[in-house]
Amino acid sequence: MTNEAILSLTAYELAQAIREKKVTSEEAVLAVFKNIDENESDLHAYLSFWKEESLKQAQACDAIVAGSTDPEGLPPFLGVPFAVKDNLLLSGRRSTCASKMLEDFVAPYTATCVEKLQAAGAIIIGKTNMDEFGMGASTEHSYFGTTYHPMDKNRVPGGSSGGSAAAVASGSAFGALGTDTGGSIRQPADYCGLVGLRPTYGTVSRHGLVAFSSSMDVAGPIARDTRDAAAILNVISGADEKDQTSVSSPKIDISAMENYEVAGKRIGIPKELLGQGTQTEALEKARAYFASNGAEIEEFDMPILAHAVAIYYILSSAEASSNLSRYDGIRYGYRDPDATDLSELYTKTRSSGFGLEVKRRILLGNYVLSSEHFNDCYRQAERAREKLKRSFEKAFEKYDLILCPTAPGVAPELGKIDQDPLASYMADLYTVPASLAGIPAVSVPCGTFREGLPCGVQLLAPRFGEQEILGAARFLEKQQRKGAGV
Amino acid sequence: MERIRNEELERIARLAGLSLSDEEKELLFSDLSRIVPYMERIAELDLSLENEDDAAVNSISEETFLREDRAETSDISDKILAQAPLSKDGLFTVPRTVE
Repeated sequence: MTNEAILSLTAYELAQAIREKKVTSEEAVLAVFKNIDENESDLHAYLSFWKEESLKQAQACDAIVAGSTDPEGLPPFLGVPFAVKDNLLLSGRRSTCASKMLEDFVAPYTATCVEKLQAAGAIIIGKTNMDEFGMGASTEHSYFGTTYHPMDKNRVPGGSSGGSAAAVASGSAFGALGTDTGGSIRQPADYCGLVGLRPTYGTVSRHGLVAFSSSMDVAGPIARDTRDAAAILNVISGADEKDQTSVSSPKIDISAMENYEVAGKRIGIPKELLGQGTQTEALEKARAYFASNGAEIEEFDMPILAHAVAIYYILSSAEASSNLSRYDGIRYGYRDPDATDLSELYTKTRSSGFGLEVKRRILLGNYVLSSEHFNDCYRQAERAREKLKRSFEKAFEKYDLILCPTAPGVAPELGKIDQDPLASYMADLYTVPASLAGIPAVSVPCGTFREGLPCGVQLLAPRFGEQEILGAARFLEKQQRKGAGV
Repeated sequence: MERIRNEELERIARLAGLSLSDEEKELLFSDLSRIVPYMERIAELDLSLENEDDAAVNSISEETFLREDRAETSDISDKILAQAPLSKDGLFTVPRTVE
């Protein structure tokens, strides 16, 4: 197989090709690293990668395949190169969260979801760039420099899992793990033409995921197609005694996704999430695919969504300000060398260790938690979150699925997002509702639009509704392939 | 909505263990004086809930579990201590706090 042919495969297809001895894992790893050699300097998707170690692992995988009498019984991703976001720990490797604060931090253990991916045979070839501690939507807030969009170097790949999305979209990994607090898997997947799945809160263990906003943080797949997303989720999900909020959930029946029955499905579109830009064209395309195949589509009112961004930023910043208080220059991470006493040690370390966006969130979090504002802001936001959850529950009594955009449009140009922080927070309107409600959401590509850039749509379902949204997303994927004559 | 006062944010920055440069102060205070009033609009929301139990909100409403409390041998402490900026004899080193 040529390198080009190898790199065009999905993770699922590559795993199958390796099991069937049509290609070796070593060839796949070499193809990926050739691609990295050629593109990484323009892309900056990775914060670290390790070729020699990956090749050794690939050879070991190939030996397992050669010695196997039951290829179908082999681990599902045996020998497939994957990337992992830098806020997921991998024992013995630097896990910086793209922050000066953790520049030299070497993980002492491996995150449960990464461990599970490795146990499924995946070769983790590197750690990907991100917005510092997951705070941002463009990967421009990385202490180590921005990641660029694989299709247009003047644009951002989205964020905060921008490095994972750029790596998968450019052929520098066959799949990746990202993390999603307010949309950090779905939005970069959308901008880069990929499938991004935010699983039901708790479905994937948070053990080894560096905390940002603990009531909303989840890890999940950034994948080349819906089948890959489902297969990755099946591997990384499951209750974990090291994460008290983790739950066991039904595994996705991947073959059932192929026979997803659209006819008779009731699909709701919240009027508050109807936009005006490119995302409307993508949404209309998806709506037409569903409608022409017999789904009932209805727009409905969900007034609480108008406040979703405010609720999200109050709660996530409050949790972040608490979670990030652990960075004090004593137990791990950066320590300012000039501090003379303990209080100076804290202040100097934190002031020079954190970037501007992180400071903005810490200040916002401390503000809403301060005694004067606690009731009006934090407590009120908690109650509003509960109301939003109930509004979703009510909507799902009527609809099987909710359809809406993932982002306000195609990937923005570099530097544009940072100019107005409030406007950039508002752009999270489409992704934060599922985060607050703890429900699953998938972003799936819905064609290319202005300047050839991809734009997708988002599908939401009640808790543990991954089978439903992945089935519907698979349907959209197949409709487009039909449309493109593939 | 009242514009957020600089002194208030300076106090909050102090509580957060952050000292801000003049440049950062100017930028962050101007950002936050727009962001905070936007957030505070949720105070006007009518959130009268159906019954009193609903007031006892918790962001993680699902049942959580406890794991068995058992002793295990772990070789991780050296690795963890190796991540400390300064340590000595198996202890974290901090500036002197008592004269």
